[in-house]
Amino acid sequence: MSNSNAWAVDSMPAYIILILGIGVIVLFFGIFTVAYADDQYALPEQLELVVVQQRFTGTCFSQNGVQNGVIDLNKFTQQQLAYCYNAPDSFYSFRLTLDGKTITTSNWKGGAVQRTEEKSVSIIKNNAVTTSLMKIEVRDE
Amino acid sequence: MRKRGIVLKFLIELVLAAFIVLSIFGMSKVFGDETFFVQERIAHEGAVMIDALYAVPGNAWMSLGEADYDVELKEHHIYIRNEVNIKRPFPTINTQTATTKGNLIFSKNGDTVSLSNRQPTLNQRNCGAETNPSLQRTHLRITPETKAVALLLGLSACSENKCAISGTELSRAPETLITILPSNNGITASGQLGCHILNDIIKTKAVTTWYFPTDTINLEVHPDYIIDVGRALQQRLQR
Repeated sequence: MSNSNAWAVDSMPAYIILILGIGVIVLFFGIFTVAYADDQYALPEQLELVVVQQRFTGTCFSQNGVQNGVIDLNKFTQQQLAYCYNAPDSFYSFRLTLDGKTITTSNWKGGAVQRTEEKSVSIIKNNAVTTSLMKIEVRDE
Repeated sequence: MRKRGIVLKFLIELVLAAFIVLSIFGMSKVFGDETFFVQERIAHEGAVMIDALYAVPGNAWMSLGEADYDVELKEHHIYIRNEVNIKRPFPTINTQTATTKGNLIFSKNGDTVSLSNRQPTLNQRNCGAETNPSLQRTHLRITPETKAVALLLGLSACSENKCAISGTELSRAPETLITILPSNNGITASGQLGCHILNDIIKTKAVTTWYFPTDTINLEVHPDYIIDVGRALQQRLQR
């Protein structure tokens, strides 16, 4: 290759393309590294779900001013659930059934349920405290 | 002319090489020290801690250690702002928007979760009207572990597990019966007087407390707080 041909390859446009190419490679390297490193720290599976669910059997539907974990059936409403659980669309969504009444979180889109649990809870019904089963259905969006 | 071209080429190559080397070094620095993973931990555990706090009956605060960079709560996301920004969602509303660094303390006050770098003052429980029963007409049901409370109150006439101010009082039906039992953690109280006792104690001391709104007055007390409960009862019971 003659000197003049070599100089053509080393010209400014070639350098600009090279710099852009290296920039893109470094950018992708960074993105992949962050994505890979992001997976290196993980909480135990289902921990977040278990912690999030606690509010449904604990404070969310308890009587006004008395957070004793006893569910007041009058407060077991869609509106109250929306107040206690406001998640991005991509987060877990729930459908709760208690004493024949079913309510869902605002991000519930229906479809296949990934997980179903039944929990024994204390409820206030007709001014008396009794126990009942709360069915919790979960979708991991 | 050709010499100038060679110098320019050399300079461009030098800048390019420096850019690549510095980029790789910068990235290695971020992931080579533990900062990124500590940020990840704060984001993940912070989000779960907020969820856990939200399910706690009453008010509480928890510390997640130190951070040298900005941590922000905004709507339902926790943001860690450093060389690499991290964002993590949590399904909780009523989050007070805050940015802090240093000691990370998450707290739940009423139904609002917030973040600050100092220990928050949490609201007192709503216990209703003040109650100041007569010490004279009070019986204390105790165990050997909680007997110090009876001694502090001067209820020295004891029979089996019950104490009163005198033998005569012990034989009469009490106006107020307080049961004090040992516990493994914090203080658990019930009854209106129990609620006020908890409020009195948490004014001056960071103690984990639980309250049950029942009619009977029960206090379950960790040995570390026996004296605090005794002093609070001294203030509450009328002599």
